[in-house]
Amino acid sequence: METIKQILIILLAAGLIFAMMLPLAQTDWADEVRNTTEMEGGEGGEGQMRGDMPASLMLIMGFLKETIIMLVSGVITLGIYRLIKRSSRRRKVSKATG
Amino acid sequence: MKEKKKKSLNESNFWVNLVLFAAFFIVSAPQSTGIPIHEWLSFVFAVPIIWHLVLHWKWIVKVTQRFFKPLPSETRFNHIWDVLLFILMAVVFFTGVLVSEVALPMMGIPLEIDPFWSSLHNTTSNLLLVMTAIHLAVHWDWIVKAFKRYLFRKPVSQKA
Repeated sequence: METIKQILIILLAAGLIFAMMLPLAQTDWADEVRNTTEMEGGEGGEGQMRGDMPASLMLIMGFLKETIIMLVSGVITLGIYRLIKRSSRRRKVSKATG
Repeated sequence: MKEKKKKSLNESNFWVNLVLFAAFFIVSAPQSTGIPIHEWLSFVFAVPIIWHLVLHWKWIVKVTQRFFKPLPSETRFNHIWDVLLFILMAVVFFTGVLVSEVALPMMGIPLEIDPFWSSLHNTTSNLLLVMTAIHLAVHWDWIVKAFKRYLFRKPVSQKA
């Protein structure tokens, strides 16, 4: 029963986000995006690129793209996170030793 | 008894997270999988996401209640980040539904694709990759420990 309640809250929260997102389609920003996409000619260069590429390369490229994006942002974050932790530990030690 | 329950909860947490990551990795590469797999798997992906949140429910409630009281800055950051991640995931999911080329038409709901939703879906899904990577990075120590403990069955020291 408790789990069902939790799931319902999660779904309700997601539904609220959806409801808040829908009016965005009526904004000037949305019109601007539509005009830009129209001027660029539909889906843009990626669709054209897809047609020119062999299937095996397409398979690799998709996963490669996300691996690179995730690796780069993850490694940078991990570096910063470790630096922050080390400096806060050092601060604590220097506080404790006076 | 309590310790045993916590251990099994940690283990199920690990396996759910592993399934979640594998699904996320496949779902995030529509160029590789093709649109039909991308769309159908996105619907299935909602299950491990909800499961992940249910498994962390106690933490979510506890931190939300104490949000305006003194909290470790790491916990506060994680909470804010997780809320943003949830919002972004919902946006990616719903914009994906609104530009569905296969799944919804197959269910008898033909859609006229709005380039605005399409563009928003592309942008937010790229941002989601970065935000998920940051989420994984801040939990990296737990991930490494869980891999050693539950996948490679190696004894792990209790120190983080």
